[in-house]
Formats: sequence, structure tokens, C-alpha cells
Amino acid sequence: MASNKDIFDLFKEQQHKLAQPPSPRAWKRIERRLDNRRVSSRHDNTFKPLAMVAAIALIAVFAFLMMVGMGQQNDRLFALNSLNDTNGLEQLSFSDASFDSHMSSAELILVAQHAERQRNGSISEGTALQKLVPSGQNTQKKATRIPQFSWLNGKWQSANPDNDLAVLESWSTSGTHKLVGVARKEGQLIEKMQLEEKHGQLYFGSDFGTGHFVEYPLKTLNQREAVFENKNAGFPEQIVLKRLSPSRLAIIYRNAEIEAGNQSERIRALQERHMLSSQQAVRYLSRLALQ
Amino acid sequence: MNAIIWKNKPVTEAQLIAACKEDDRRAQKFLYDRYAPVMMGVCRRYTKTEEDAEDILVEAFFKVLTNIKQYKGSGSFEGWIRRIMVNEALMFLRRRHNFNLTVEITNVDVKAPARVIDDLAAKDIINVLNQLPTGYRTIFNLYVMEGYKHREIAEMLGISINTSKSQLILAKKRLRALLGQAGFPGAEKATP
Repeated sequence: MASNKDIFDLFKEQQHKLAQPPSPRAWKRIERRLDNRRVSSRHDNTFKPLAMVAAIALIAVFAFLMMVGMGQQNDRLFALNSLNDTNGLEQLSFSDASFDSHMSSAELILVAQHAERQRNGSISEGTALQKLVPSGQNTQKKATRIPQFSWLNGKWQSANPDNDLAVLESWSTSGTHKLVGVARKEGQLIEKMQLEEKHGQLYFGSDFGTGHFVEYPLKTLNQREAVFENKNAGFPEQIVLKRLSPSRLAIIYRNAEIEAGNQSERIRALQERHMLSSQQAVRYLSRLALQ
Repeated sequence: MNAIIWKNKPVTEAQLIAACKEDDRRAQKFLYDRYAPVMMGVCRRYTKTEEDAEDILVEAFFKVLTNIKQYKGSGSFEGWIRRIMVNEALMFLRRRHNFNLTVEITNVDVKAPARVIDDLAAKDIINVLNQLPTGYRTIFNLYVMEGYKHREIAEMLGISINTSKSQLILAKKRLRALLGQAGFPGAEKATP
């Protein structure tokens, strides 16, 4: 006996009859798509790390370039900051050969005041030797200190002729980095000297009459005194050029440490030798004749 | 749960799913072979041709296999696959049909003799469903076969609830008529 059912329920109960296997082509289509996805996924897995590495490398290169750029800027600033150094190559400086990095504090103050006046006033090109030029273009690339001793050029004689009559000393320029001096006593060569600048260092050399030069590097320098010191030289360990006045000079040979009561010092006081007048010459010659 | 024999030894569905999550191709094929026939029937109910049903099946099964990691095991795995199939079928239909081009009618209750439907073969069911308009057939499938509510169907198809209801009534009337035309007089005698 058939009983009436909701037609929908009947369809629902019969839906299992609709199950049917799809064609074999269906799985091939799915498999092909899965293979493509796997390849692209593998590519992703391969290239994603590479892409990340490449991105990191790019960032690193960019950062490196930035750092290099900043470093160069810092170097330039550093170079400019090292203007106070005598060997600053990038700095703008006066091509004044008489520039002295060993100035006394008073001189530094004067230089600073001079610089302040120049800054407040109009900028002057100065003389031909004082043009503001990049030091790299400076024909006189390194300021030499030899000209500071140009006053030494000439003839000097003992300041106390009664005691040390015969000592005569003559200094002359030999090239741009050297002054040469010769000391004679009673006509005999007693000492050869030289003031030479080598590799940025100033040396006082003397052979003390032996023909073999001993060099003393500059230790200190100011307007009145230049101290050269070589502690390996024995006596003297120091040679001091002391300018007592524009026409008076003392060359002092001494050891670096002078013990009290045991002073070992040899001073050669010199004065600039002037040409004698005829009367002075007669008096001088007559005195020699009397001796 | 029916025992699953894979690689000549019984495995659980969870193990099979785990293998699929590891992108094991043999496990994927096994899963496909296990569920494809049922799902082909589901897809076939929504389309008028087997080719369209197979297109839906391929697209949906590809999504099943590539999104299987999203299945957390909280519900029926077959139900999860079926929802994907239905969604894919609806996407297919939305591209070809406007579900809003319908008229609303009053409720009609159609009864059919049980013995008539029991004699229906698969091809008869398919023939009847194929003759239903797309709107009727879709709502019939969603409401009767899948068990969705009218509110849910309205949201899924972008139609009003009343449209869903009226289409279902029309589907029922048309089914009754179609069954009668197919030589199952019991259906025609069914009273609304």
C-alpha cells in the first residue's frame, strides 16, 4: 500500500542514486592544477628566500653606501677639523712659509686676534705668498721653519772679544731647507754646523771639529730660543740657540739635566759682526801687534 | 565510520586528511576517488549537463585539496566537502542566472505516492530535475537536498526570503507535473 509522502522527502531519499564517478579526465585536470601549484609553490619557496636575501643585500648595500657617504663627509669634516695640524692636506691655509705650529700661547693669542680682525674685516688676498689657496695646490706644499732662522745668516763674532777674540762664525743659506754655519778660531776651522729641515723635522747638526756630524732634533721653539736635544749624543745633549737681541746670539752646549753645583755648560756668546771702521781697524790691529 | 583501506592497510579519515595536508598525491587521489562520485551527484543536481557538473567538481575538488589545512576536524569532512561543492555550483549558476527574475506565489503543498518515487531511477530523477527552471532547481536543491533554511538561501542567492519560498512552491508543482508526464501517474494524483 502506497502512502503519500512529501514529494521533496522522496527526492531527498533518492538522491544517493545520483552518485556517479566523474570521467577520468576530471582527476587529470585536478592533478595538473595541483602540479602547477606545487611548482609555483616550490618556486615561491626557492625564490622567496632568495628574494628576501636580495632585499636584505640591497638594504645592506644601500646602508653601506649611506655610511660611506656619511663617512666621506665625516672625513672631510675631520680633515677640516684637523686644520690645526700642520699636515692637513685638504685645508685652506695661508701659503705663508713662516707659519709656526710651535707658537707660544701669547703668539697664538696674537694670531687668533689677527684672524678675528680678518674675519670681521674684508678678506684680503695678501701678498703673493699669502694667497688663500687650497694647500693641495700650494706650490710650497709644506711650510718650512728654516726661514724663521734667516736672522742667523751673516757673520758673527765673539761678544767678548777680549776673552774669545778669535772666534768668528758665519752662517749662510744652502737651499731652501738648510742653513750652514762655520766657526773659526784664530783662523782655524773649529766647528761646522748646519740647521736642516728633513721630513718635517728641524735638526741642528754639529761636527764639533771632528768632521762627523751629530744631529739634534728640535725640541722646543719660541721667539727667543730654539732647543735641540739628542740624549744619545753624550755631551752636549742639548744645543740651544738663544737670540738675546737682534744683534746678539748665544749658542749654549749643555746636558739635558743640569745637576745643581755640577753645571756643565759651554756658552758661546756671539754678536753680529759689523764691518769695522778704519779707526776701529787700526785700533784692532795695533792691539794685535802689542800682543 | 567505514574503514578506509589505503596502501593495503586500514587508516582513519583523520590520517588520510593528514596525508593530504602533507601534499601526498596518492592520498589526494584516494580522497578524490572516495568522495568524487557522491560530489559529482551533488554537482549534477545543480547543472543541466554533466560537463558543467564536472567543471564544478574539478574546481571544487581543487579547492578542497588546496585548502584542506583549513579543515579542523570539528565537523563532518564529507559535509565540509559538500559545502565547497555547493558554493562552487552556486558561483557557477550566479554567472549565468538571475535568481531575482521570479514571481511570488502562495504556498502549495504537493503530495506524491511514495511508491511512485521509489521506482524512479537516477536517470529519471536527473531528467525531471533538468526540466526544472534553474531558479526552481537551485532552491529545491538547497532547501530539500542540502537542508538550508529560506533565510540562508535568500542570503546565498541574493534574493528575498519570499522569493525563495515561492520558487520552492513552484518547483514542487512543476515536479509533480513532470513526474506525471514521465509516466508516473501517482504523482499527478497527488493532491496539493
